[in-house]
Amino acid sequence: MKSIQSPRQPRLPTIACAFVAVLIFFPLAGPAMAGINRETVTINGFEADAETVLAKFSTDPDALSVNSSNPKIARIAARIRQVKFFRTIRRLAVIHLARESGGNRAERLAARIKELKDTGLFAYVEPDYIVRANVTPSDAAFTDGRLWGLQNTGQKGGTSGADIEAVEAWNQTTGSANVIVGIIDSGIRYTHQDLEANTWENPDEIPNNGIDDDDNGYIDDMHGINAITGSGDPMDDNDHGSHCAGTIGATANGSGPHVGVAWDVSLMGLKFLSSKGSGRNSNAIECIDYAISKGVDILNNSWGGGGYSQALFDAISRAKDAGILFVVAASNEGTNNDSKVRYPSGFAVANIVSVAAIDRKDQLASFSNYGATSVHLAAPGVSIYSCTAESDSSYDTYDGTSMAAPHVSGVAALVKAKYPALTMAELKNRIINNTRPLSSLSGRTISGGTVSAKRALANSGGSTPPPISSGNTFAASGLPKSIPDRSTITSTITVSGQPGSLRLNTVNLQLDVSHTYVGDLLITLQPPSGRSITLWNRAGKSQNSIVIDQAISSKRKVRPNGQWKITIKDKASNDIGTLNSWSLTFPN
Amino acid sequence: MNTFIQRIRRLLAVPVIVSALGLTHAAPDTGTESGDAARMIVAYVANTSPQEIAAIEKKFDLRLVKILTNSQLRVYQPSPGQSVAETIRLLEKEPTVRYAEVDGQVSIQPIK
Repeated sequence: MKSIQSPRQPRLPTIACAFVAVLIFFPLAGPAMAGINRETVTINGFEADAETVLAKFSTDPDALSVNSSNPKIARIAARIRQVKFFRTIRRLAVIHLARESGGNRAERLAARIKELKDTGLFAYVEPDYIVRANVTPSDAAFTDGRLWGLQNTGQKGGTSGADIEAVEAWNQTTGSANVIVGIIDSGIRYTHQDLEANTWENPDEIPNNGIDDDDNGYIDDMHGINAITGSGDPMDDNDHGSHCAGTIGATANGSGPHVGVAWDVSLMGLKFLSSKGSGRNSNAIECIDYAISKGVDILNNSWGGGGYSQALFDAISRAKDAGILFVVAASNEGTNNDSKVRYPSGFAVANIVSVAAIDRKDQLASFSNYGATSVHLAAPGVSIYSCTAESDSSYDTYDGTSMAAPHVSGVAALVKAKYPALTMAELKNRIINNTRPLSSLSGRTISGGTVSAKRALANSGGSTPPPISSGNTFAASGLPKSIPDRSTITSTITVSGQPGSLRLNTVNLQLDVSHTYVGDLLITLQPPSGRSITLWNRAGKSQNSIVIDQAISSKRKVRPNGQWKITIKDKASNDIGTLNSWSLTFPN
Repeated sequence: MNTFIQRIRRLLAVPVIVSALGLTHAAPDTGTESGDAARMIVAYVANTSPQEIAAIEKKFDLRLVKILTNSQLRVYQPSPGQSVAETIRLLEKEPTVRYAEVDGQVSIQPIK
């Protein structure tokens, strides 16, 4: 029998109980505040310290007799590093758990709490939740309420809480300069007092030496490029790009009156829109390719209006392959994108996040496009204050889905800063699956909600949201489907409403197959007319998946309406797989 | 020194490439500022040789605006007097052309 020492008897144990390794009498006055470098986990939806728990003993510890031969106590005792009692709160202790590696830390913490409870020694055991003082910026436009999208307290007739829940998010993170957000737009005024400190700097280029140091075709591309002129100077001559940049990441606390969603971020200027606000697909493609080459995490796209472009589709797909989230404004006609597809927001590419606009009362803006299957979520887009390009201290208030998309890009930057290891798909899932639900968006967006920085940071992504389903995308049903060893399976899609004939290379094919040895597989596609096309002919050897997302590589003309059939033949023994999904997207 | 040599090499490379491609006409990229000249994006089939591309450009008297190296795309203006639509129609009959399309215009979207 061994005794547990009481804090009122400050002596070191001679034969310390197996449970309490060391007792230190620590003048804790209340719950532990977050330390700067404490590792945290999310448990029950809240952030908690990963290695400490709060526990209240059922009786005074000095009165306890603990039998260390009790296996429940012995098991948990080995996992305790230290116990610190509160001086002012009787029987309450902070239990420091031994550091363990591997596995899921949240699950491990929950298991330790259960093990402690199971000893029967405690009145309660609970996570050591992190509490912080609210972090708010001192910038005038925030404190005087102009930035309602960040914090809406009901100013100017708005609805209190109708915002992106930024203040709660800033308690978690205010961003990181390691996250690069490219703004494909009219450029950015990188000398602006509220943008300069957060403007991306090309680490491979020496400024103003007239030399293309990184040998990428652009001289002195310190902050991005101008695809119209082919130069390395993305200076804004329109205002629009700087306005978007300011919403995403204007600097906080003193550099000017503005503050962005992300206080710390690297903003890359990718100019392809002229001073008049118009541009070419080819120049947008050039910007996308530059962003890919420089490791951008998120691309903001507050533009649109063109028709279907295979070249632009391919460029966005390359960005997807590079792990770049592609945030796009849903357009400003006040119409349903499910009925008439808008580009680029309507491209069926997995990295696209299509954004509608709401006002300060949580209502869908009258001008905003929407779509139950084509627009993912909404964000503030009416009376949005931000930087402009007229001077280094100019600002203005704009409306548009152009202003909503940067709020989402900013939230994505915060999430990526907090969780740098997230994949693009995980980042997208977190944002879309953790919106603030609104009745005004129910049936009008895929998520039925508006972006929430707080929720995107607090919760995991959950399941993959449905892809954009434009009027011209047809997906196979009845999947997934097993591919047994040495057998043949088929899957069909029936297409309708297309023109009489078209070239196969205008049709985009998405195919996802998993298999333990893809070198066994022969995959063909049979259009409604003409001969079949071989998509995969026993390539890839022991590779475990086939993912195709590109135009069909054939210029042959076919009749698109009718049945399209995928046939998968497993031509060798010992391996099996699954046809997960496939779809066809036709040009508008 | 290396940088200087690289720079000279690059300066020389552009006219050499243009010459090798037989491009006698080169059109500036005007964005959409001046004239809004119609133009097209052309994707060639993989492994199309520079000589084959040059032959297409000569055959249709295409005016090169820019080469999107990473995308393996070329942006052209049509021969004077030719429409973009007609040029695209003819280009798509060429076996080395994967696709050709209008270089579409987009914009920031004003609130109506």
